[in-house]
Amino acid sequence: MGLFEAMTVALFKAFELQNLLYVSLGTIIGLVFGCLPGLSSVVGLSLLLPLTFGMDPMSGMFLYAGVMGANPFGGSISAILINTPGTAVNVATCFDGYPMTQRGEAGRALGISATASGLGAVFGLVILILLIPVVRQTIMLFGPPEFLMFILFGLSSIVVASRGNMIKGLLGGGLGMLVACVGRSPITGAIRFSRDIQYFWDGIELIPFVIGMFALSEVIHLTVTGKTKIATRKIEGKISGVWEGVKDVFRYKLCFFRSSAIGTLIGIIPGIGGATANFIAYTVAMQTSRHPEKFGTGTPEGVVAAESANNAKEGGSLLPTVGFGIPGSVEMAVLLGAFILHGLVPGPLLIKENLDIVWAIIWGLVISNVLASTFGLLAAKILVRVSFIEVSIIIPVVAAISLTGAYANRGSIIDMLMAVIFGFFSYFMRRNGFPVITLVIGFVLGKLAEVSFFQSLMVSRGDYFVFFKRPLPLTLFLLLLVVLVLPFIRQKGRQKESS
Amino acid sequence: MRRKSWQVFLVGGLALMLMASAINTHEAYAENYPEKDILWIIPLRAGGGYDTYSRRIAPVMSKYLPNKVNVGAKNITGAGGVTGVSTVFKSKPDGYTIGLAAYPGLAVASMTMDIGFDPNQLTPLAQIAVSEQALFVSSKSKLKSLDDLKKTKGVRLGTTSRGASMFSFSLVASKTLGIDSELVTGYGGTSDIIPAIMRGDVDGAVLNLTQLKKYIESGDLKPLFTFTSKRHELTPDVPCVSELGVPEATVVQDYKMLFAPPGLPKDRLDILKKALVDSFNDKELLEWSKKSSMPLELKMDAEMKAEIDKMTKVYGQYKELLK
Repeated sequence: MGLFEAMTVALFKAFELQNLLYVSLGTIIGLVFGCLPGLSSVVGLSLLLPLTFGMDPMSGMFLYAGVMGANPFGGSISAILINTPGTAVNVATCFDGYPMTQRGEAGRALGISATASGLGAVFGLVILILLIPVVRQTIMLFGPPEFLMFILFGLSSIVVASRGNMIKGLLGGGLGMLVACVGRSPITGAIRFSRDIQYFWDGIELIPFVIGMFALSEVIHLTVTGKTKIATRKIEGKISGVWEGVKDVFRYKLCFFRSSAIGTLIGIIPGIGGATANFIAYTVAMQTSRHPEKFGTGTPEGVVAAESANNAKEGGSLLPTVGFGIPGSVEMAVLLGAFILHGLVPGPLLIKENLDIVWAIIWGLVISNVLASTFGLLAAKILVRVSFIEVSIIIPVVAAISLTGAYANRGSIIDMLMAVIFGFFSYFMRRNGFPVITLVIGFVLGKLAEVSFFQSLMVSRGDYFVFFKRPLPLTLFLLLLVVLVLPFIRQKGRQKESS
Repeated sequence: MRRKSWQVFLVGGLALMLMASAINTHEAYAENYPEKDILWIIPLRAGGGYDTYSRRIAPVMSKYLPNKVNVGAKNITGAGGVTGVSTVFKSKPDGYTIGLAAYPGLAVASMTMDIGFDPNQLTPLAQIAVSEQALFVSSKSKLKSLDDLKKTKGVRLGTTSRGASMFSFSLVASKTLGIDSELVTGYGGTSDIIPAIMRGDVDGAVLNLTQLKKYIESGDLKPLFTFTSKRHELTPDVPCVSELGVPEATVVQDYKMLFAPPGLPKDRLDILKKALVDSFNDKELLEWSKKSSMPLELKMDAEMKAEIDKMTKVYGQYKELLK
């Protein structure tokens, strides 16, 4: 079957009533599971698997694509409104989304998220389609040295995020990396910081960590300060706020394209999770912005970066998945499992043998994203009201949802306890002026940095110059230097201007 | 007043009904197993081989159980699969909790670490599948045979970290075959290692043969030999370790074993076993197995025990190295 023939076949299939219903159903599940912390699309897909046995594989794919497409936007709703990342890919959305809500601009933030998510997803899928013919070469571009440079890019943003509080920022980042070290070393297998406690062998789980760091610490903060509402002031004409958000995406189009491209690229690299994609996009946006100091205080640019990246990532991670049978993310691993359950064997030949299935997923993702974004724009007006509800009602609800989420992620009571511990920890850090962002960046990227650094050395049999021998890591390294030095030069320039 | 007595009557009636139903179920509980859903624990993450097998077999099994109760598969992950098995171990031996375990992974874990329970006390149900391993290299590689591998100093084999099955495989394979290998650890799993081999980051890896069928067909990867006692039907031109004179290396295989908690009563064990035997004769399941190249291999009782003992013995020899 030719590329375009398969494309049209799948498109016609997509608009069959039954399949449209499946995509819509998937979209609803994706939004709900995205919105609730701890319930990710991985859980959603696993629950749906047994129900799809009897279906023809294509209909199953429409259902799965519905869930996967809508999930990141669903997660951004809770990230923006209650500072709780609904899924792991929405962590960076909290950084600016929630401060916007606190300022009374929740509608605008949701508008940005809906628009950036939808457009970002389409961007990622277009790149996917363009790269399908060269899938093998694309995947082979990235080895451990390339990995490491990408990760260092992300880590370098700790400097930017420290903002005038360099010591505390760096301490936070280092602490985050130490937390990431807990458990079995991915390289030597030694068990670190855990003694005989089996729970710690796998390290600190991301979901309870971020739920504690963001949601619960905010709950504690709201309780202690005795504020009555999350949003301090009401912006007039909330509906226009949503349209402001839509326009923001076009206002920051450079940021949008850059973040979508980064999201897609990180998605393509197998073995780097979705959480990393929106982190690196966010941090690059921060470093290349004209106003890096505004990141983390509720700048629309930050939400554009995070939300375009995490949806564009889907297209990217679909490339190695359908093109080569290598999952680009955890969701994609479940999708591969679904292929096998439907009797399709994933691998380098899938794209030749089952091109219509691949197109079904692509169209499913497009439709699901359009539906989710439309829903977001229409419902924003109602959703925004959350930020004007009495805090006395919000606190118990958010606390209950977050704790349930921490538990539901993998059915562990200790995860719940860890979330509470991290909640208090994060609250005390904030009270003492430590930027929480740097700790989270250190945590998410720390382990990946360790693995790729040591793998680079093992692969090259201990050659420290391996990072500079290939053009891609070398270029990335030089870019990294530029990015680190640039702010200082700019600052000098500004000082000259003002004097 | 009248309203109140009416309420008392209603509540009392409801309570009586509840009690009655409780007594009723209690009686049935003893005679009519199974009468509620059975939990099938998957010790590894969603989307992997263990997950796929479980999610495909569990619903078939429920078809062949008395009362057709549901068999629900659930991932309980952690500590490289130990947490899930430990959950099975600690569950009530009432036949409502069963779970998969990875062998030799579990045996190695219990030998090298304090996992808090003795896997030999679990009630063995059945071996459901064996994943045959092979040593894979890039099809462009200069290494073409076991002899080439033996002659090369420091063959880089890609693997997961110490403690996972693949690490044990790579180590035991190197030792038994006499390959001077350097293990490149830190990969998340097979899917990370495939591009690493193709890029030449590592020279090869011990990977699941049937899972990589399509990569052999596409010409990206090439198995040098299989860790089997006979040539594998999938790769009739590829030698097996037995014909290369190293039959000990056949323990390098991944066994998917199903267990129940210690002390499961024999009548319930027999009901579960019968349902499994029937499931493995299910036409649809067999068809799926063939189509998806997910081979099934049912072994029970003495046969299953023999496999477990063999692995415990052979991997026990390398206990110190595996630590």
